[in-house]
Amino acid sequence: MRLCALTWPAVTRLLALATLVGCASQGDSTKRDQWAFSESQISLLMRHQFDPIPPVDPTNAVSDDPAAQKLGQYLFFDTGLSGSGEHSCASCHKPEHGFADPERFSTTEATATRHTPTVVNSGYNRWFYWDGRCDSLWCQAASPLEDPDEHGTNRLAVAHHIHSDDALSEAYTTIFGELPDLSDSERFPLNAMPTDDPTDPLGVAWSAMDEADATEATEVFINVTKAIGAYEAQLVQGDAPFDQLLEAFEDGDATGGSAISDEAKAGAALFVGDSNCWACHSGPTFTNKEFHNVALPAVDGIDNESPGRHTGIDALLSNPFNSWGEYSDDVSNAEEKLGHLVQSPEQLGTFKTPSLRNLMDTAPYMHGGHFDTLAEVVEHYSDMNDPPLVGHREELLLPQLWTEEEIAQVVAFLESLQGMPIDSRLLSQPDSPL
Amino acid sequence: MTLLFTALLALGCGSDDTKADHDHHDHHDSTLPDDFDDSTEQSTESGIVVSYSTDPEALTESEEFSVIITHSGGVITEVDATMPSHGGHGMNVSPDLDDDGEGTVIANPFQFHMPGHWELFVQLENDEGAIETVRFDMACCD
Repeated sequence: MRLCALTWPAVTRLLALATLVGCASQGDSTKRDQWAFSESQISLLMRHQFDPIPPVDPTNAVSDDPAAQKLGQYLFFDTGLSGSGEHSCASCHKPEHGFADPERFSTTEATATRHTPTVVNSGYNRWFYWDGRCDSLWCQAASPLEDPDEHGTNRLAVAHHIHSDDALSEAYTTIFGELPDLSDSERFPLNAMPTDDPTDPLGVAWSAMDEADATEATEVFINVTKAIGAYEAQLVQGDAPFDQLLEAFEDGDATGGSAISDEAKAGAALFVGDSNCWACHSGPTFTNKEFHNVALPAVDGIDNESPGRHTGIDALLSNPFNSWGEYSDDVSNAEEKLGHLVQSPEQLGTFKTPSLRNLMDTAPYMHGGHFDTLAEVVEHYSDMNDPPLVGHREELLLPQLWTEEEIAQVVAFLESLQGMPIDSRLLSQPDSPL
Repeated sequence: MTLLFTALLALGCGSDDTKADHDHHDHHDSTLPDDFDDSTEQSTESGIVVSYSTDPEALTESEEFSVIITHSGGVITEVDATMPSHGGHGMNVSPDLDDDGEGTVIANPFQFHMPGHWELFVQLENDEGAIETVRFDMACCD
């Protein structure tokens, strides 16, 4: 009768306790004898082998061009790409903070409503933004420039910025060919861009432009973002202690060697165990690159009931700068990538799975900066006791009820994914774009 | 209560035993069920033989691929895949079917966005007009 009175959560907790107690001696013994991973654990961990060269983006013809990468690096730090002359990409994607922002929400022209993700290892991404509204780095770089709450500039101002600076225009023409002659302010106003509001002066100026001139200005604007994307793709950070663990496995050493601690190894075992962490945080950058609802708690400053990917698909498909659009340098794979996307209520409240590499640089965590520490993140997944605020929780996520020791082990494992620092030459604005 | 605890203890450590069995299974992949069937040819109840292959043969997680279906009769009406451990949810893409009318159908794109066990379903209308479905186990990824 007493058994019948137990609730399922209680049974689950008791089962977990029994498992811990019953198997503790086994764990102690393993620890004494030195860690040895099972074949299945090694197989799962080996799926995270990192290739230090990200895939080339065929939609950006200059992604591999050193001159474009140099120009992009210059522009990434260029406050001339903002309406106020005070902000650059690096204002939010701070090199000293893993190209993320230590604040929950970045503040430039206004305060953002989602946490700034890192651009490190972004060359491996399939989708961009937390809701995947872009499918390339150059697409991602475009909308913040024209967002009045971020850079607060516009495509004509960007084109004139390049055109009016000798070094920038020389670098540009070397890579992309001749700049259009923007000197006729009747044809090319100093400020103009498409807007939803027909009364917006920027939109009025844009509507008055000849279509061919507008296209030329947009091409300059997008070439700027392609140069920035080419630079960002260079921001690769691997070579973590965890990667040395995998090298030990390749050498036939099931203990994984000594690059990471026994505590981190215990965390690795939990990561590839019944927790199912590995299912979404899979592959070389520890992300399956797709979208999941992880039942995050409500926090101030964001739309806690945001549809996430569900509406991100609409934004992606209507984005003129997606890989299927006229500004893409290769549309041959676009129909396959964008033309068959499923949009369903299952995606409500889902956000992109972030990479787990280099997390020590990029607190706070989650799309709303929900958690300040990795321990808080792991505790969330361990407890998993809050219903989602919208949609339904990812089915693979089940309460783990980890002990404090186990949470510390998973955190130690995550810390073992911290790679070697990025080449310091990539962390600041070069003296010249040339 | 002692009995309950003993039972729970046995259950708790039982998962390790299960895992050990898994490790001894041929595929050595704990993400796949013990009864994973890697056959690529099945027959419907009416005897239509259905087989599949993929292009490329080796699958990469989150990357598109094609499924090539050959069938000895009927008309293929749907080809899809779901993930049992993921609440039966399916892919994030919906493939088109290209039927050559001579027994081969190419379904494209497919995309497995999570590692582990997937199930491929091929639905066809047989020559009597009845709907039949065959199921294949698939693994993501190489």
